[in-house]
Amino acid sequence: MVTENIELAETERTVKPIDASDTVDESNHSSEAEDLYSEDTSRDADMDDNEDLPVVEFVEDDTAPTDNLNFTETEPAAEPTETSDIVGESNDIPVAEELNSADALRDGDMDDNEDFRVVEFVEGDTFFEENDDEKPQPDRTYPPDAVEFLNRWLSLSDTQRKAMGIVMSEIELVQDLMETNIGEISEKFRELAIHSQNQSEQVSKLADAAQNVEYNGESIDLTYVIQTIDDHLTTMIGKIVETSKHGVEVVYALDDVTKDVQKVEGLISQIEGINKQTGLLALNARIEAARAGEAGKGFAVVAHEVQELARSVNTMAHTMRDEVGQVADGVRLGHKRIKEVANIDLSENILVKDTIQDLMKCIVDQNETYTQALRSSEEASKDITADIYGVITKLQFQDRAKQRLENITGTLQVMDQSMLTFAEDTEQIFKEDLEGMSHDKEWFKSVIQNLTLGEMRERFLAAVFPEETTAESSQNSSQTTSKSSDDDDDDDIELF
Amino acid sequence: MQHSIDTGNGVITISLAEKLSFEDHDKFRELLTAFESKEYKNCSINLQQLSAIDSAGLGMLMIAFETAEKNGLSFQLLKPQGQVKRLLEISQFDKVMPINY
Repeated sequence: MVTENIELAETERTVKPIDASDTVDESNHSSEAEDLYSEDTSRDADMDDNEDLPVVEFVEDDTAPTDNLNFTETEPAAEPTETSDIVGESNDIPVAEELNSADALRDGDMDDNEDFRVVEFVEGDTFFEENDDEKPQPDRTYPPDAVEFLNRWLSLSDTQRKAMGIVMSEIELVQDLMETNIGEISEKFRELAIHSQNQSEQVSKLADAAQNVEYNGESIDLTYVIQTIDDHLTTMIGKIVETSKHGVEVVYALDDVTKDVQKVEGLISQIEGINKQTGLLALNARIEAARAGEAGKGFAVVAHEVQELARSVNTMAHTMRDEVGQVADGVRLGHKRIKEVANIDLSENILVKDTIQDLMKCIVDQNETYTQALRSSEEASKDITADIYGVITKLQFQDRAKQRLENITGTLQVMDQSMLTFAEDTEQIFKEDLEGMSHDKEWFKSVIQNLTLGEMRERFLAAVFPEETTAESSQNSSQTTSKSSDDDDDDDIELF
Repeated sequence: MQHSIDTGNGVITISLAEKLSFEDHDKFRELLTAFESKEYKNCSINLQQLSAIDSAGLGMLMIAFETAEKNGLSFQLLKPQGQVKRLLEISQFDKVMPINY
C-alpha cells in the first residue's frame, strides 16, 4: 500500500494522503478523527481564509521529516512567519490537515472550492483506487477517519449533483429569458425601424411639396409662380408707360385744340369786323339812293337787303362766338383734367417690381433652406433606419449564446452521470463501512451563502434540502428584497 | 428740367439734366420740333445728367422715339443712370428702342 502511494505521489506531485494513511496508527485514532472534524468545520466557516493551508503544510514538514515521502516538491509559497503559532498549538497533526495540505500544494490559486477539491482528490486518486485493490478482502477494516471522509465525499457528490441539476435548470431559465426578451426587443426595434422609415417617407413628401404651391386645385412649381408674377408685373408696367405716353399725347392734342379754338375765335372777330363794315356800306348806299330820288329807288331796295344780310351774318357770328367759346371751355377743362391724370407719378409703382422681386427671392431662398433641412432630415431618418436594422442583426447573438448554453448543459449532464456512477460504485464497495453515517450539509450551505440572488438561493436550498426549505426561504425572503416566485421579472437584475 | 442741344454731321443730341416730369411737357415738345427738320438723320437723347424721371417722363421719351421714327430718324437713348436706368430696365425700354449704357 505504501509503495503504491509513493508511485501516485510521483505522478501527482506531492501526495499527502499517503502520509495520512501512514501516520494513522491505532493509538490515537479517535482523537485524530475528532480533531480532523473540528478543524475542518472551522475552516468551512471562514471559507475565504486561505492562510491556514500553507501553514499546515509547513507544520507537516517539521513534524514528519522521517516519512518516506518525497517532499522535495514542497511549495515555496509556505510562509514561515505565520506558521510558528500553529506549530506550537498542534504538534499532533490531524489527518485532515494533511489531506488539506495536499490541496494547498497542488492548487496554487486557492479559491472558494478548496475543500471540495481536497476531498475530491483524496477520494478519486488515492482511496478509490486503493479500494479497488482491496476488493477481494471485504473483511478489511478501514481507518474510521478515512471512512468518515469517504462519507463526506459521497454526501458532497450528492449535493453537487443536486446543485448541478439546479445549475442546469437555471441555465434553461436564462435561455428562456434570453429568447423571450431578445425576441421582444427585436420586435420593438423592428417597429421602430418601420416608424423611422415612414418618417423618412413623410419628410421626403414634404420636401417635394415645399417646391410647389396649390392653386385652383393644381400643384404649381414655385419658380413658375414667380415667373407668372414677374410677367404680370412687366405687362402692367408696360401699360403704365403706354398710359403715360397717351396722357402726354392727349395733353399735346388738347394744347393744339386750344390753339385752334383761339384761332377760330380770332376768325369770328374778323367776320364781325367785316360785317360791321358791310352794314356801314349798306347804310351809305341807302343814303345815296335817297338822294338820287326816283332814279335811286331800286338801289335803295338792294342796299336794304345788304343791310339785312349784314345783320344776319352778325347774329350768326355772335352765335358762333358763343358756341366756340363753349367748346374752348370744354377743351380747357379736359386739358386741365388730363394734365392732372398725366401728372400722377407712377414711377414708384414701377419700382415696386424690384421690391416684389426681392421678396420673391427671399421666399425662394427660405424655401430652399427648408427643403435642404427636410432633405437632411430625410437622410438622418434613413440612417436611423439602417442603424436599427443593424442592431436587429446584432441581437441575433442569442442563437450563438443558446448553443453555448446547450453545450454547457450537455457537459454538466456528462459530469452528473460520471459522479453518479462514482458514487454508486463507492457506496456499493463501502456499503458496510458507511452504514449509519449521515450526509454533510455544511459545505453546500456555505456555498449557498455566496449566492447573491436570494430567489436563486431559495431554489438551490429547495432542491438540495427539501425538508428545510420552508424555514430557510422565510428567513431569506426577509433578508433580501427578492420576489421569490417571479422568474421572468426584470427586477431581478437590480438585486445584484 | 435743363437741357442742351448739340448738332453736327446730321446728328442731333439733346442732353437732359435734373428731373424730367410732366411739368416739362411743353418744353419737351418744343425740343421735338427739331426732329421734324430734314437736316438730321440721327437723333440721341443723352440721359447722363438726368437724375430722376416720372411716368409721364417715360411717356415723353416714348413720344420722342415715335416722333423720330415718324420723321425717319434713327433714335437712341444714351447713358441712363440710377433711378432713370432702373426704370428703363424694369419698363423694358430696351425692347422698344436702342439704349447705349
